[in-house]
Amino acid sequence: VAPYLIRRLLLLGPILLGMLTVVFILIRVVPGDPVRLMVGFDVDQATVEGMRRQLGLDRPLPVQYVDYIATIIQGDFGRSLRSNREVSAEVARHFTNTVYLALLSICFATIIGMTLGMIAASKQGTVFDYATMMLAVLGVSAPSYYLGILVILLFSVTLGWFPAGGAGTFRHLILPAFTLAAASTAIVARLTRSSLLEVMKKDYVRTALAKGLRGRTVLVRHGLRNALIPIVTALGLEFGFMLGGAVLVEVVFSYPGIGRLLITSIAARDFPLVQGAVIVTAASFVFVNLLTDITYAFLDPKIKY
Amino acid sequence: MYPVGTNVTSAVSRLILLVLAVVLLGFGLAQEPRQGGTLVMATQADAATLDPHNTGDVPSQIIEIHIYDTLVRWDEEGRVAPSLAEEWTWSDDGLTLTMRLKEGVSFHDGTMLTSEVVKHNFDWILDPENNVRARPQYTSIERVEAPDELTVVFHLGAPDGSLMAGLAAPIASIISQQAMETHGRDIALNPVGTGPFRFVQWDTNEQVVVEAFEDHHGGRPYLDRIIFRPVPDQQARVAMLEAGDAHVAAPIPLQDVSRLEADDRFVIASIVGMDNLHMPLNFFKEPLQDVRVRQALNYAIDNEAIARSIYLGYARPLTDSPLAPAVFGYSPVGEYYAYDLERARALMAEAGYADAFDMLIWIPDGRYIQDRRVGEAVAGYLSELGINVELQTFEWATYVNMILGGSADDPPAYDAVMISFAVGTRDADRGLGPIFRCDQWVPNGFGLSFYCNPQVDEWHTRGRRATDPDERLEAYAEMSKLIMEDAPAIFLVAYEFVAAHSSQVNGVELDPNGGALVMNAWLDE
Repeated sequence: VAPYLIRRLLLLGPILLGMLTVVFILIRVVPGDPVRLMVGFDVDQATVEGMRRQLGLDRPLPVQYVDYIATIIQGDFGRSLRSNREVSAEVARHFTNTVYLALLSICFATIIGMTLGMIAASKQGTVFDYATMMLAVLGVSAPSYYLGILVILLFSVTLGWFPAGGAGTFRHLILPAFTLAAASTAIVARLTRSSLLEVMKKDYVRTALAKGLRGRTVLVRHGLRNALIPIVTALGLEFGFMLGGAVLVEVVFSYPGIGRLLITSIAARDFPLVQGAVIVTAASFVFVNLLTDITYAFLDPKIKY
Repeated sequence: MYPVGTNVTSAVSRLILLVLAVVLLGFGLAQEPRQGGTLVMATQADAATLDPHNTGDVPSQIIEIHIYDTLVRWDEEGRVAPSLAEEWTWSDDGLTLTMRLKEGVSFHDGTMLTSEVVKHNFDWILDPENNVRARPQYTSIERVEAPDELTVVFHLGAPDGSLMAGLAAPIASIISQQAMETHGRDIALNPVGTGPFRFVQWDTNEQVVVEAFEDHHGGRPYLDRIIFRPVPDQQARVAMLEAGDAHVAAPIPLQDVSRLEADDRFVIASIVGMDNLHMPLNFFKEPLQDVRVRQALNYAIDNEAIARSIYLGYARPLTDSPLAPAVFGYSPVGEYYAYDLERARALMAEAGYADAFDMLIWIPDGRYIQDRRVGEAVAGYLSELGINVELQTFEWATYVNMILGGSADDPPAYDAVMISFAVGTRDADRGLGPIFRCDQWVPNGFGLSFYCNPQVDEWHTRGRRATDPDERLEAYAEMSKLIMEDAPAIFLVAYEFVAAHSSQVNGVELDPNGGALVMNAWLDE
């Protein structure tokens, strides 16, 4: 495992550099001037150009690029054009918030998804099965901003159980995590069901049942264990997406996560902040994939790297 | 008999008095502002900066107004009133403004307000080296003097009747000199003013927290704390209010107004803004060079109907002035462009454009209240004149770049663009100058029409040079008349800002530049 790990980690460098370059170019190719967006219209051109000069935005792009890469290598992600805050601190705070959200979300997805999947598989062809799978279709297809608003209306406005938005306590996490988990839960439920159904047809399951083991024991011990690989893959991918793609949920719940930071900084063309947020998102995605790959080895001794 | 009668009467009257007293007492108690409590305000976006001198957006400005004071302020009638400056006098030639500062005003960091501090603020703003956003608004000031502790003298290069309005604008807030020197550019993150609330903490995309400043020169505010929470999704903003997670939601979407209004837990507040939604017409485009065509476009659009049905009444049609009614210098010049399709058709025919032609109109999406729907309505009205409108919608940052990208040498592609110019100083000088003056064509200023009428410039200069308010009003009335006549734009509406708050909150005020102010607010038990 070790050489494989090292190879993967070494690959991380070029991937991130590539990412950085692409983002650096893309955000500047898109029209938009961070200074003008910040100061509005009631300012003369000379002042705007002076501000641009102050921020170093008047330099040629290759110079800005080399300068940027050089400071990144020293571990300095620069400062926000808008607020002059350190990008690293901003990104760290928002990313931590997103990690909390994604972790709780993945817990929801795993517990609810696998439970539903197991029920559906063990009661294949019954009302339970159909109802669960129907729910799964809904979960996958409901747009998260729409689902988010519905969840807020029900659990905050009508029932008053959870806050409608914001951050700071565990209670603030429940609704966005639940909304974010909807799609993943559905995917996990469907995967669990199909994967279990397949495994349950295997010879060793028949053998186990023939030995006289209880159905439930066989389902969990022999079935689920062997059905886990595709589920873990899916969960890993979902977690990766959540770390970078919780944008809509974070906006609806006004949750200060990395997706929201990305949206606001893109809208403001706050280049260093966009770059910082993208690097962290990309790195975490690659890293989570790596973790997923390693988990396989533990789940299935046949897999060797 | 008599004594008994008297007794009965006196008993009755005593009872009445007692009831009255109880009622009055109860009334009095209900009216008595209560001190304490934390108020949560859901706003549309996070602050961009808390450095007032460099602020160009409403969410930042709203928070800054709670933290800072200006030398003078606007009173309820929109007149300039004393704030940090107690009194002021103008020299006869209008070139010297002498202000006397209030005594004993302290900043949140414990330093005192002196004329030196005021001088330092303006020296910083006016130094071109610093590239401060506020600078272009105070170019008439040549230098500032501090002859003694509490006297500030502004020396002007030319008389400037709009200066007082400029000094009342939040962009001219007075910052602690000590904090400016300590933090430099990072004053944006460490604001120190003399306002009723002092800065506590700012977590981007999450909250800005301020708390009551005990030593505020105008007395301690009622609230202990205010939390400004950016809630970008407008549906979610209303939901936060309804769920009780926010006391104030500003702004709110118009479709929610009637529902919230019917609910006695909430109060709707609205104010006519300083914004004039209009569509500058590109004078480099052939049909638009004809004044009759431009007038026809204005006659063809039913602003009244737009205000009624798209804004549900929360807008004033701009048929009689290029300025929003709340701006100083607004002087209605008669019903210029009330909807008149026949007249529009006649003007088009007269100009030789009875046949169809095409217009390309650029609009932003989601930046101005109902911008997209107004754009669609305009396209619909213009089709009545046989004009095929192509509406192009852009994301805001792209839009800003595109509309400011043209110049006289390289004219832009649009025939018209939608824009709303928020007048930060609430004065026609800045409300009309940057849009309609000859020397303000893009990219120098905000002249998106490339329109030039030297007479307009002349009246604008006169309005600025005059120090007598009546004289100024007259100049802007003449200027407005010329502009309406020339019709360099399609004038649409001055929309209102609508907010909602819990009925437990008292004393919420709205800022005509958008957003809610709660420095005088208090919470019921």
